[in-house]
Amino acid sequence: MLEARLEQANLLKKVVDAIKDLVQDCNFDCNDSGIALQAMDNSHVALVSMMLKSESFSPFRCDRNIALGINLTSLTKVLRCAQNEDILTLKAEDAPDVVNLVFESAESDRLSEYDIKLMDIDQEHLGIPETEYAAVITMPSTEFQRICRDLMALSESVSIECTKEGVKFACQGDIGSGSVTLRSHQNVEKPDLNVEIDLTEPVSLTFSLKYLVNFCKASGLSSQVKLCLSNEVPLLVEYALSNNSYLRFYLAPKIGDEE
Amino acid sequence: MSLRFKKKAIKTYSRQRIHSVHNEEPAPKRRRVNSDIQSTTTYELPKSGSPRNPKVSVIALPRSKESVAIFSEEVSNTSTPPSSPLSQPSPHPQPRRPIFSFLKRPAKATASTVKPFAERDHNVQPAPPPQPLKKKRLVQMQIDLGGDTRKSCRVCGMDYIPCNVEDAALHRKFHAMNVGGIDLPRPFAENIKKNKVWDGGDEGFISVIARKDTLAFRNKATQVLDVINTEISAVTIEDDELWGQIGVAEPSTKATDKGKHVSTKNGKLRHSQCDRFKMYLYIRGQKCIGACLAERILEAYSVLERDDASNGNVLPPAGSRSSSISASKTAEGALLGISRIWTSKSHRQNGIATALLDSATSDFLYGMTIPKEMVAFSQPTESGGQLARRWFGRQAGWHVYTD
Repeated sequence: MLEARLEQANLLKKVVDAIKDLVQDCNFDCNDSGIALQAMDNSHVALVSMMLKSESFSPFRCDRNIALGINLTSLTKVLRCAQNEDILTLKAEDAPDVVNLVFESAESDRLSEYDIKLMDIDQEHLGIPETEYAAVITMPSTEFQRICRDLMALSESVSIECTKEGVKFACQGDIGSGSVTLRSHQNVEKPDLNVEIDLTEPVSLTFSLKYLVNFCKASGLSSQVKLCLSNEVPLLVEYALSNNSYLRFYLAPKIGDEE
Repeated sequence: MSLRFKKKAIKTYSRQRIHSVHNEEPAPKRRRVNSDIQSTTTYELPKSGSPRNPKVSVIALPRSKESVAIFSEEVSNTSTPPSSPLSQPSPHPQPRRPIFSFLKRPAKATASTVKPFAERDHNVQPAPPPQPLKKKRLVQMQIDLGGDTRKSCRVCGMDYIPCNVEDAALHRKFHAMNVGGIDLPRPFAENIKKNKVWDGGDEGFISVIARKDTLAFRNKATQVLDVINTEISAVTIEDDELWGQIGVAEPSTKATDKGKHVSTKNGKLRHSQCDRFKMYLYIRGQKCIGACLAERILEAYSVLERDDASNGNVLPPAGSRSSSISASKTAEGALLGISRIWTSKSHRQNGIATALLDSATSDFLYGMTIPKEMVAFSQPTESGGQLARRWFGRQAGWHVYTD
């Protein structure tokens, strides 16, 4: 059976909020190392990969590998019933029909319990190859969110150009064009505001802003976001969580068609 | 390259990359030469009518890029550094860069046509300069981790690729049609009421469409039939056949026995024509939720008990029946064949098919209700077999016929 206790329901709430617009139903794969989720959006343009390590829970118990097929809309509905500070416990049998969520209020003795019916989702867990990226940009997640939102007003796609000088987010739309350039920046007092650019070769790729804005919903999970780019592979947007847990988004680029 | 991309078109990722590399490379060179020429040509434009200059100025202004290509052959030797690779691509530029070669070709073609009118071109508004960035239409790549992209819908059974927008839309349409019934336009749903053969009040009504009906009616019937054929994997019936007639030996309508009508009093058979097919539509609101294609037939075979056919001992588990039936080898006379019968998924178990069968038996031949013994089914599907057994009220002894 599975029993996972999260000190703060907030974490799961935010994770599910961030991915529920990309995927409707997905499998939460539970094993003794933690809870993992991998899902592609309908159009196969973006991929979400989440890993909540067992260390993020206290305690965590999972005797067998279980795949919990959950409809994320239903899960959001139930998670709305939890306060941010509640203690959340996830429970499931070995061959479950339902997943059980218990919210305990830290202050009062309120205890609420919900069951969500599971669904049988035919979805393989596919291996995402480890990749060496040509450019790795670490920046404040709020900054990334702001750039995406600002440029979204002008165009539907953004080109991310990474050179020695810095990283340039540029877009071109019907009403005009815009760009935001960030340079490497160290803030001693507030390390959260650091911008780091680790570059082995210059990269320039174009992405759909619609998806990036969607990814930015995870900004609340982590103060910093990591963008990894290479000319040959999808963009990786990673929000690191505590205890090596993470929420990663992959996005396929847009490429010029000449015909 | 470890994460592979897949594009909606058939092109590969690597090919795309080659183009983009080539596009980036020569662009700055061109622009540099371009600015030089621009200045020279604009000066010469008003005064000289020399064969080359007007041509260049007229086209060069709007389409700066190709003028470079035309001009750079001469200019490049002097104006650009010797290392410039421009002199090579300009004479035969087509093969390598589709974007620019496309722009270049019309430039040369129009040059000859424009030349005689060179004087008048002062007034011509230059066409808006092409925006090379806009020409590069961006195409969204897809992530492919090697999983199966096909999916088969559990409800409607359609195989489709969910990540293909068109395919997904097609599936949605097909799914809705299968599950909820076939949408009928409002005027059609009103008009078809005049062919009503059975009225169930709010429940809906049954209308018949036959050979003599208008083309619009018949086309709709064919459309419904297409949906049915797809769902039960039946062959399509050609329109000529569907709305054609069949010659029927008169006595056979009275005599059920086959041997009898051969030896009629007169010694010869009097043939009459009769509509071969009639389509019965069960319509509720704006939707057709059930349909039955009835056929005039002459003979049928009775269905034998299951145990007679198979070696007996193996009884199928109760409730689940296979669609296999065994029929006797001797033909018996019959009047009405149920060629296709279908009810939309969400409206099953509501007696719709039964109502359709009852309407067909009472309406198909004018003035008589065909007894159930004279009705036969075509090769039934599993659920078709269940319907037949329920309607005939017995497990065996009902009739089937071959199409």
